[in-house]
Amino acid sequence: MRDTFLALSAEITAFKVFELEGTGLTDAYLQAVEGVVGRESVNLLLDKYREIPDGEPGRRDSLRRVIFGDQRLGPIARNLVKLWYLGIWYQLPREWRDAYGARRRT
Amino acid sequence: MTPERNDEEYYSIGEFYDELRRGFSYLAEKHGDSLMCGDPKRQIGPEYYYSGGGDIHVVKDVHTANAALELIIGQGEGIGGGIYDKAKELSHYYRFEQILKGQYYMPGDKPHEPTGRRFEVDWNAALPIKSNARVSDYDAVPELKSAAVDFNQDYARFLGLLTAAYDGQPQKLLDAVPEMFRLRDGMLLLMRNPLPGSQNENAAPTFEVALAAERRET
Repeated sequence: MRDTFLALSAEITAFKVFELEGTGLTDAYLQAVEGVVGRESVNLLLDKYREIPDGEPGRRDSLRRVIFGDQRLGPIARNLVKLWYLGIWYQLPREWRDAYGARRRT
Repeated sequence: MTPERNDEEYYSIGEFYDELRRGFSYLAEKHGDSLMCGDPKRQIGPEYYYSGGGDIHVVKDVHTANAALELIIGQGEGIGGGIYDKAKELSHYYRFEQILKGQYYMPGDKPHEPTGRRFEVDWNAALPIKSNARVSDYDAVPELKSAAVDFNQDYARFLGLLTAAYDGQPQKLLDAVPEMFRLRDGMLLLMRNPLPGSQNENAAPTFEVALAAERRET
């Protein structure tokens, strides 16, 4: 799970796994994302990412369609990019919170 | 300045500096005031230093030289069984030992036998780095190798800055301070990355400065 999280992070931030590992923040960030969106959403994100076939052409489009274009996974992935670059977790859009929020009010 | 017999070595850096102190006194006795004849502008004064422990000693005679050497001895590891320096600060060696033993020293304690409060050390949070790593350990991993070589070059450049600062260009010390933070980042990049093929060890900086100098010349 950690490895997939790192691989996904590297691919969507254009850093290398080596560089991300070098920040020492991998575990803290994985924990932070899980804490906000819930383990179920993280597992789904990583499962979908694992299923994307290797190699261009097509990988970039698949990433866009399967991850960034997905209502549930897209906002998480975009937030993950910002998290790596800025160290800040932005609040997810209201629609996302209403639909999938780990702590949505009933 | 070398030990009297060839098979003797300095037991500690503290002993080495103590020997320097003796040598300095010897020269001062022999030459008197004419010993310290250099340009005082080449000295690093308090204007080039901020934060941290200790303070700057401008060396202008045998007394100030001894004070500076005593500071180094006291900060490092003490000498002759003392673990606190004259300012009642615990020497660095024994501060590290506190962590290893998970117990604080108290004034009056003997070396290696702290009697103060105990504390927990989270060793899981420590990075399991390879001891005495060499660039050649990374031959099979280009990313580690290039990070290690980059670090060694940064480190060599940093030592060059310090040498220049202590050899007539005191303002270079100011340039060296941010370089230290770069060094830290370069070390951590290596220390946080696993070393493939090892027993769960991470990489580590190698400090092979001579190698860095060679590489720059070619």
